[in-house]
Amino acid sequence: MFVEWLCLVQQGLYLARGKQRDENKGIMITGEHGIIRFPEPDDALFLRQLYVAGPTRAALLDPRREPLMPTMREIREMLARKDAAQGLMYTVEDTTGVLRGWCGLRGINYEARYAELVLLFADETRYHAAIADEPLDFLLARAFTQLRLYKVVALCLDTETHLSQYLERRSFVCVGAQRQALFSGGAWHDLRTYALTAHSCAPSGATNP
Amino acid sequence: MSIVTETYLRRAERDDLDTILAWMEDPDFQFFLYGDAAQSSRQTREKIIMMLGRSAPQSMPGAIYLVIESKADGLIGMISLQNISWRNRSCNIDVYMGAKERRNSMTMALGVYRALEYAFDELNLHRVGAFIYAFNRASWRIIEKVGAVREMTLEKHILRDGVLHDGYGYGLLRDEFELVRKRFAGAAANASLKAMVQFLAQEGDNPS
Repeated sequence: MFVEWLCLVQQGLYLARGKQRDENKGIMITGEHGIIRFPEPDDALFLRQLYVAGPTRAALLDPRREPLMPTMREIREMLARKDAAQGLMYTVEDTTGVLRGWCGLRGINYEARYAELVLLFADETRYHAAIADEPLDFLLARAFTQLRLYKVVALCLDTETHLSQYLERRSFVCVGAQRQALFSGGAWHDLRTYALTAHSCAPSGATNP
Repeated sequence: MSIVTETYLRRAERDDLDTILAWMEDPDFQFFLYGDAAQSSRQTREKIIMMLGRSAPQSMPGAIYLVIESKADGLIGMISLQNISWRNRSCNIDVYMGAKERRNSMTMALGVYRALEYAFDELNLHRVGAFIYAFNRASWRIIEKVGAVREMTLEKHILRDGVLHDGYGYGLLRDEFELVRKRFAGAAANASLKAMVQFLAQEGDNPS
């Protein structure tokens, strides 16, 4: 009897949470290997871990190419800002609901029709897993089909080998590298720029989220 | 080599205040850290509250704007060093010549050269970058002349009059600028003004 009651309570909480997500955020896309959804304030801790505990990532640098050390409050403010509010930044969960990464489009230039694409996983080896294809396919569809952009660019440090291999596998082309643009870990690092145009974009073959 | 641990550093924030104030109750806190006899515990407390609420200091400018001026003609152009990163010792340079007749002249080249001297010799920067539109040939010719390397070509990246144009990303490292400086110093040591003009004219015909 008690177990049944507990199950009902859990189910109710789950449904309530799901309903709240739908009402407040409006989007939660379930793929075969993961879930793409709008970021929530609760994601701030996960994002802070990416900033402070992991290796330096190009996507987390500021416009001056400096690593940031944001506070929880600043991350929450960032999540509430324009790109997130306009539905262009997303959190990636695996099928069990564990946060795995962060992705989005930012700096959209509607005149020249390009944007910067961000795809970030806490565990870099996930770029080689199917969970990476679903958010990338989703972002490319959003960029090229919905927003009718001509091109997306992605930044990548020379240390982000998993990401660069993944981008190349997905038809991104390296258009150059800013030499010694970042000083980190006692060494200079190059910042590569990858580009993918709409006409050279090929689907991954992964399940369409 | 990186050391992987479960701990990390982050900026303190207001949410940490309660924990830090609790630490302050510990006599060791005052003994080992903030035990200034001239300050009451209340003053120390207020100081810490202020520290946690303060944004990161920005004592060094994020951009420096320089002008090119002529004794005869007054202001003729502007050079801005933007996105200065004191951490990476880098910046981006933008040049604008208000006096159109000077846009292809040595005035502009010398202005850029002096700005680079300022960036490397005075600001102690390591890298100067520039993003120049492909159709702005005069600008990228000058930046190449002072030793910058074209690192990146972004095709169809800038919209002007309904047409998408390419953009070039340039980078100049301190060592590369030193090589150019040595080369020009050698030319200047060639005694006469006439020889110098001839050298510069020759350089203009044969871009490196």
